[in-house]
Amino acid sequence: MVKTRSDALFHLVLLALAGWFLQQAWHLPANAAGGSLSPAFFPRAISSAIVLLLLISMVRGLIAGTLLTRDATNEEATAPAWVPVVAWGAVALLLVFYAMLLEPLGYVISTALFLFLCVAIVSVLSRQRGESIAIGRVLMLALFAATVSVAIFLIFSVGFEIVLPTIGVMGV
Amino acid sequence: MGDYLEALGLVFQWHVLLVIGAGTLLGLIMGALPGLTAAMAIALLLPLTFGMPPVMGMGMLLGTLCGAIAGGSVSATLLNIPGTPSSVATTLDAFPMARRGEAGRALGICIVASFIGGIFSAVVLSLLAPPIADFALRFGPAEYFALSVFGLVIIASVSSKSLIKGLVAGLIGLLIATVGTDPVAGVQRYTFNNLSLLTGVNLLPALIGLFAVSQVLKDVVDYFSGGPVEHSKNKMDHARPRWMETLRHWKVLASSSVIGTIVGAIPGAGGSIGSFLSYDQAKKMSKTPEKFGTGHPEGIVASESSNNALVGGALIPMLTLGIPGEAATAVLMGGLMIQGISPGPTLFTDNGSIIYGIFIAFFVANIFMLLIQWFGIQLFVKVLQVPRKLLMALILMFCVIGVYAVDADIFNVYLMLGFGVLGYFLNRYDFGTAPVILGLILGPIAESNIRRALLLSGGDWSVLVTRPISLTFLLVSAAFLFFTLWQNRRQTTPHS
Amino acid sequence: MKKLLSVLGAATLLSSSMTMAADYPSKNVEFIVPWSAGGGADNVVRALQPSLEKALGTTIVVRNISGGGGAVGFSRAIASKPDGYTVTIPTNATFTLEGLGNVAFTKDDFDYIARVLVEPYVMAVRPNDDWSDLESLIAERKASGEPLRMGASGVGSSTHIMTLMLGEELGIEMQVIPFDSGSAAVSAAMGGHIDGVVLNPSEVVSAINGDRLVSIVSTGEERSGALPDTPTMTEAGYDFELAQWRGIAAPKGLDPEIEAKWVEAVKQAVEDPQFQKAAQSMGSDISPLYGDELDQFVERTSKPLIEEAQAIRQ
Repeated sequence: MVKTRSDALFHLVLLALAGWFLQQAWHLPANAAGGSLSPAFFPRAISSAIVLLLLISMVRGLIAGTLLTRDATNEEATAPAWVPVVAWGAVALLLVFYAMLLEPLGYVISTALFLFLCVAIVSVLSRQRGESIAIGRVLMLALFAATVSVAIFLIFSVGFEIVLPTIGVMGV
Repeated sequence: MGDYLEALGLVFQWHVLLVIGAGTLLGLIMGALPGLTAAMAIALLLPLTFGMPPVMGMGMLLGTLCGAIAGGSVSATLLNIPGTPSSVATTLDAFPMARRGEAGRALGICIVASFIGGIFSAVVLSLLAPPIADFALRFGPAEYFALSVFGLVIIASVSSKSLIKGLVAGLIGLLIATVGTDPVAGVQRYTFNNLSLLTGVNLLPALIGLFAVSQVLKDVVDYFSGGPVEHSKNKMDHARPRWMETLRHWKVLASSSVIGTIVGAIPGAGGSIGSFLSYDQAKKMSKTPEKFGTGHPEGIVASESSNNALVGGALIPMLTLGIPGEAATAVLMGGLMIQGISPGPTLFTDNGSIIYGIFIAFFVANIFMLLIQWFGIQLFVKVLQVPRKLLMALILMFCVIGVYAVDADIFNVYLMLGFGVLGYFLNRYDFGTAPVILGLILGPIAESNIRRALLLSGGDWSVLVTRPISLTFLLVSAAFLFFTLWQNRRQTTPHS
Repeated sequence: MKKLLSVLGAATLLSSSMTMAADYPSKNVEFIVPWSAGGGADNVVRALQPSLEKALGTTIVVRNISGGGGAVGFSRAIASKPDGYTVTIPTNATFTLEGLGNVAFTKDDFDYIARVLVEPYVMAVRPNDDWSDLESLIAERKASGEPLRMGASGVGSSTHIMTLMLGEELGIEMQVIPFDSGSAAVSAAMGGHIDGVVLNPSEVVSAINGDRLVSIVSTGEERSGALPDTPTMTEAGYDFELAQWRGIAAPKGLDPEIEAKWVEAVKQAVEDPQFQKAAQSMGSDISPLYGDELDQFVERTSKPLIEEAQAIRQ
């Protein structure tokens, strides 16, 4: 999606994470009762192994020349290269907001908002140049989002007896 | 014999059959939804069984269990959402096949393989339960550790693209599995005073994040790049059970059913590894191991037959020893006890007709599972005709609600998102997500048991090789590891 | 504006709390089980559910909030309003969690409504030529000087703490091997991988009835209904009594009128023959306790457990 040397970058991210786990593991008690392994043994051993294997993988990638290659641009792509990246980020961010608002806004409202925005974002981004946004389709989408969230709420809370967050107005 | 005849009479009454069917249907629906587990479905129906005779109530709950496992495979096949850890192996081949436009074929194989696995385990359950239970008791800490090593070797086999990257992914799973209260000394590891992490990272948010959420994130990108995800209505193949195609792989069916039943009967072995073991086994026996992971029918047959054989296997220690292996059988056992029946050795002598009634009800539940799916398959594949934009949003919604429902804990939702992003990049750079799940499942088993084994032996490592079962597993693991490396080498050399 | 709103809010809150007790219950009651479905506590709540619903005249929604060995569910329970619409199931784990120090709540954050069931801890060992009862077991262990390797249902669980307390009381060395669950420990004991277990009757009764384990002693006030042949510690000549229990509790600050309604409901529910049958097969003894007696019981039981758990922590 982005023209970066991303495989190398991802290796480095994982390396940093493993390093952090290893550093944290150093604070764990290393004394073992009864001749068994200590609580620190597995975290240390595993994170060290990850670091080692990542380094090997990077060296092998360097030798084979795959680590630093740029991603091939997709010939069939119908949209500019930044569009999928933005869409990806928007959906991921939307999920975070959904999780944040689930309890304060209650299930029904937050879900309806999420469904509406999620589909809307993808639609707007995939819109052909010059295509206008039909108000009728927006309303249809809003209706869909509202109906689905209410229906799912009823099925889960009444049918499956699963307690979902509510704001306490009219039972939703 | 008299007990068996009496038991037949207890099951074959129209209202008992109806209730078993209803339980199966509810299980199927709940199992297909991400996050809703078999245990939750059974717990939901539990109060209804109080007023029923034991065989009727247990029949309904067994139907729910079978249905939930089968339902998990439907969403694994169509949407890459493994409803239970044991359907992870199903996603490896069934989902790629469905993506090719052969969703009907993938589900058709699933249905037949599940049915055969389920019926096989039912036969074993009714004929061989006591000796298998005795075998399961021989598993002590050393044996469990060796078994988990055996399971970890599979990481090499499911990481088809790059062995080193696959191992890294497996180790990431193992590392995440160390989060929480350490199982032997009670020390907090990586919990940062977060209550939700005290008992470790919950498996379900990890599962759904790594598979479903990461898949949707990939779909979002592909949506704009003309990726290979278009399901057109005219491309959809015919959806029906594929009897002949499935039965042609009878060797895989047989070995996977046996593995599933036995691993299912070992309590706490993380029954979910049964389907991985069968998948691995099928790949090793196969003439075309390189096709595994690309939508190969043998892979689906292996995982699905084993997946449903696990159910019958898990009932063995529960009914004969009173030891439930995992959550769903624990609720089932609760249901039995609330009925006033204590499972265990005495069940066979004191309540013969009831125990045989339960066996027969389990057969019937498997038949209902087949019938409901047979009629339902046309409906299931309709899911793929939902416009992609809507489907992506709906899948994410179900993932969030399902994961929230597990513990009513919003933390799990964030955890799922984190795993979703991690999974997206792991797949993108060929690390793979299946090894992470294997690591997550096997990590706690491996660590707690080796530490228990050493605690019991006073620090003497030789227990691992002086005990026959443990030694066997370790030797076979080593042999398998070499075989996989050799197989990979043979596969890759002609290409490069 | 803000002030006005808060006054209005306080006023509605006040008026609603005044009418609350009179028409309680006017909506569904949430019963938080801090463990997953299928555990001992969950079984008890689900067995009680139908008869409690009848007695209270409302629907009870069982909500399993597992995680942290009960810590998450209990924390959630005490964070909710003490309006009688959220209750939970207190057990000895409520106390051991406090003692282990990972949670922000204490036993005093709950209003205890009732004790419903008690079940003692049972020490059960695998059959062995050298020991058949408590006396021969202690004599043999003291002579050999070896520790008794006992399985518990989890590190820091009440069975773990009870095993250590029993060891101190009996004067033998106990090596506690924590397992992931009670059933995993029983399975290891049946397979001869450890010497025995200290667990509640519901978890060992199948093994004992099937002659795979022998029960040595139990810790209850009276003999357990599920294991009538097993002597209590008191009968064996020790001044030691401490049982597992399961009850109903609300967050602190429950209206006494609502508490009284609950007590009435529990009194009816425990008379239900279906529940009695369920309790019996789960190996529990129905032993209801309310009000001041209950508070004394909580005080008496929690003290040693919290102290012993604090000792493990160090």
